[in-house]
Amino acid sequence: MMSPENDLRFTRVFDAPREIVFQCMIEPDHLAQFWGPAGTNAPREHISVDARPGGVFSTVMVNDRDGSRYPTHAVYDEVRPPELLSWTETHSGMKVVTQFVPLGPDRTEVRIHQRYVPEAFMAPEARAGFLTSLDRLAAHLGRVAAPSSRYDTDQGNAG
Amino acid sequence: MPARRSDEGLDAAFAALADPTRRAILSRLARGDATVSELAAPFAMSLPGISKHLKVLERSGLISRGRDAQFRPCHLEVGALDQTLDWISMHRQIWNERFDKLDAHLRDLQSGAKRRRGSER
Repeated sequence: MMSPENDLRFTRVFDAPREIVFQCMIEPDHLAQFWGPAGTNAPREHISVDARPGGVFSTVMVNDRDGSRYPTHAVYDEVRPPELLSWTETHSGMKVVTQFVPLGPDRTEVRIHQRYVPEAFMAPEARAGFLTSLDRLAAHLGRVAAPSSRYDTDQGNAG
Repeated sequence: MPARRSDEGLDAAFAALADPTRRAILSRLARGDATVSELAAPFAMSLPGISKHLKVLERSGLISRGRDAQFRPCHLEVGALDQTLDWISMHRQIWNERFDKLDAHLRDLQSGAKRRRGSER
């Protein structure tokens, strides 16, 4: 049931040893420094990490301008320091697998593979509370401009 | 479905969407085409101020302007917006921004090993 448009691969190379990059992805003090994308921040006090299979990974991203909050809640599937990390978001069904590939002693390639698992999780309700204000805009505009599109939802603000 | 846009095009569209006034303009245009003065009405903003936002939106491809020299009504390019907001684009952008920050953080960490709290870029 997986369609390619719900399957994202993203790669970035960092000039740092693999162990350090891995630590950054599982330690709240580090995550607080980068987890919120541009225009948001991820306060340290709302990050919780229990990096083992079945452990919880949750964050709240806060919009810098208007204070909107985007909570995420995930459960780790696999934790294999320092090479692999994977979790599934319980509110969206999105699965994220992160691989840490050493390119040298101080160089690490991080490969993200992100996808939705069951089609059911693509329901508007699952999308609604999701991540950025862009989602809210999409939901809002979709409701107004394209009622038959996939953004058609009357629950645009669950987050 | 329009052709896939370049990364630069997507960057421009995301930059355009980062501003709340511009998002409000898009929301208004989703209800129908409008002139600059109609768009300016709900905002405490001068016409030149609104025009600047419209130029950004137009460059990003999210809106187009009519040819009528006097009124040049603005039109929402729903296809471009839809593409900008699609799942892949959105999440690629999120990881990209997140990893820009991580890159800076890692540099800080490594220079901070020598100097406490170094924040050179």
